[in-house]
Amino acid sequence: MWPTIEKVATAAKKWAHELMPFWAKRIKSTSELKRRGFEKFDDFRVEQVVVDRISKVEKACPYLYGDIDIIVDKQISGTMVIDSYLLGDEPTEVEWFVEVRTSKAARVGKMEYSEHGNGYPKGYYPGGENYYLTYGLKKKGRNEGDVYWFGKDAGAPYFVQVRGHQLGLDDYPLYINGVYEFGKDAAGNRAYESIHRYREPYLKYFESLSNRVSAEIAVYIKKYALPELAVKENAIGKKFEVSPDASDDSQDRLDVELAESFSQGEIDGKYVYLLGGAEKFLEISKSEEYKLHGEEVGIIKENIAEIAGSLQGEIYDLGCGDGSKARMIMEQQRKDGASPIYHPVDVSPHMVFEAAADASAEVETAGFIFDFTRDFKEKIQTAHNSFMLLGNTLGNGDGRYQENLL
Amino acid sequence: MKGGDSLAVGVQLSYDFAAILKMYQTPQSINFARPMLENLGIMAEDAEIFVSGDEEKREISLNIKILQDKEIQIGKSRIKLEAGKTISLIVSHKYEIPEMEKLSEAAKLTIKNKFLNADQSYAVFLMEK
Repeated sequence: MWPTIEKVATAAKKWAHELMPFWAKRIKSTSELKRRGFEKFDDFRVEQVVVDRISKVEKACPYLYGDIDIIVDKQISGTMVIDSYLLGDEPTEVEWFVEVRTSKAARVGKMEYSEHGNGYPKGYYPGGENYYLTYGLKKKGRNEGDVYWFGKDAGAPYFVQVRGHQLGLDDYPLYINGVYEFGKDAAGNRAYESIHRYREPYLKYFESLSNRVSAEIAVYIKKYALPELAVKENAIGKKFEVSPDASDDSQDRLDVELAESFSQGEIDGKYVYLLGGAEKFLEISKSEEYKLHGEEVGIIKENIAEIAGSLQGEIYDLGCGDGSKARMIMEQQRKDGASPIYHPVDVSPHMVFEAAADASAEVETAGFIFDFTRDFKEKIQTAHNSFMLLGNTLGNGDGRYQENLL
Repeated sequence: MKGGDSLAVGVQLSYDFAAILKMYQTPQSINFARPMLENLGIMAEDAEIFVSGDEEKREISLNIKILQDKEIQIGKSRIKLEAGKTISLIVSHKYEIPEMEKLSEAAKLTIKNKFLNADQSYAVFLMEK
């Protein structure tokens, strides 16, 4: 039987009003994808990653896991440029942040069960080895209320958080209300409309994008923010800030320098610290056999009053190690009624975190992760300063290096 | 450093070079560089690490000797390391007091005081701009 005229007319109307525009957009968006060098809708490029700031804070979040107090130990923030069809017509500069959380129970490394027996270990991340990461992204310049979060936490399902509502994709139907203009979907529609309208087909693109962007950020977090140090007993409850000179550019520069050094047959000692030697050095410096450390500590102890009295203003501890010598000096300064401000400085994030975490809670601490043997002058913004260059750090290079350093 | 800023510098003095060299020739010192090499894909069988000293220059060096041809990737660069090549890793210079005085003078720093340990193997200098 032939379809009725009404049916043909309805189908034609549907084609004209819905399917044709959809396919037209689809063709247009596919050609746009090709123009930008992408093959799939969830393809993306991450560029210009910068780690701006690492703040050590303490914040109880009891609502997250019933009666379990979660401490936000570190907030690490930065910017990056994501070139993705899903995020807009042009590469989008986004601010990102990561919260590294650990529970109070992790402070003592014990597993304790909650009073209500709800099955969650009180030390949600026990033993000081595990940590909880939440990643967030927002378009640069947007207010907090506009935040469209991609999230992923250790071992838990992916989630999307919009305006404070956390939505587990595995557990809940997606519901997004009032998401601000965010980009376009595969058919060229606004992303929020598309998610609302089509849900499943396009959601997977965002999920994939989120997972992969999170993985990109994680590389920087692991390298510069050392989340595992957040659960060290001495690190919890201390507040400090660290400014890392960490970005794609600085990483490229270090790679080029190291490659050239290998060719020339002479490698700067900083690479030994950067590429895993820092932890080894801290072990060595704490050992009985490390005579150098003991001799210097002995001199400082014997002359502590004069040394502490001479180092006034803000203290920059260059090549800080574990910061133990600076701690001795600042303790004396505090006894003398001063309020020292401490800046551990090292090219190795491990050293800076170690020194910052061990500094007294009474001492305002703001560390720097960068190569102080170059471009250091521009980083010092404070008016009256003292510098510590201990541990024979001056001797870690030739005559020119030594003159430049001083 | 600006006028009025202070600096504390701790340096090892060149008191007995043979003794200093011996102090560095420990498994701990030698293994200090292993993590870096391993991170670059140079394993124990690929390179030997040894300590050497130059008494005239008062310098101790940690060196790696490549034992077999090896290619490593650093960032975007591919580096060929030939067996037998020696790369100096760390230089640690040991000082004499007059040398420190010259260095501080060149940097327009005034030595306010210096503190030495009992056997004069180590010194901490207090300087001021």
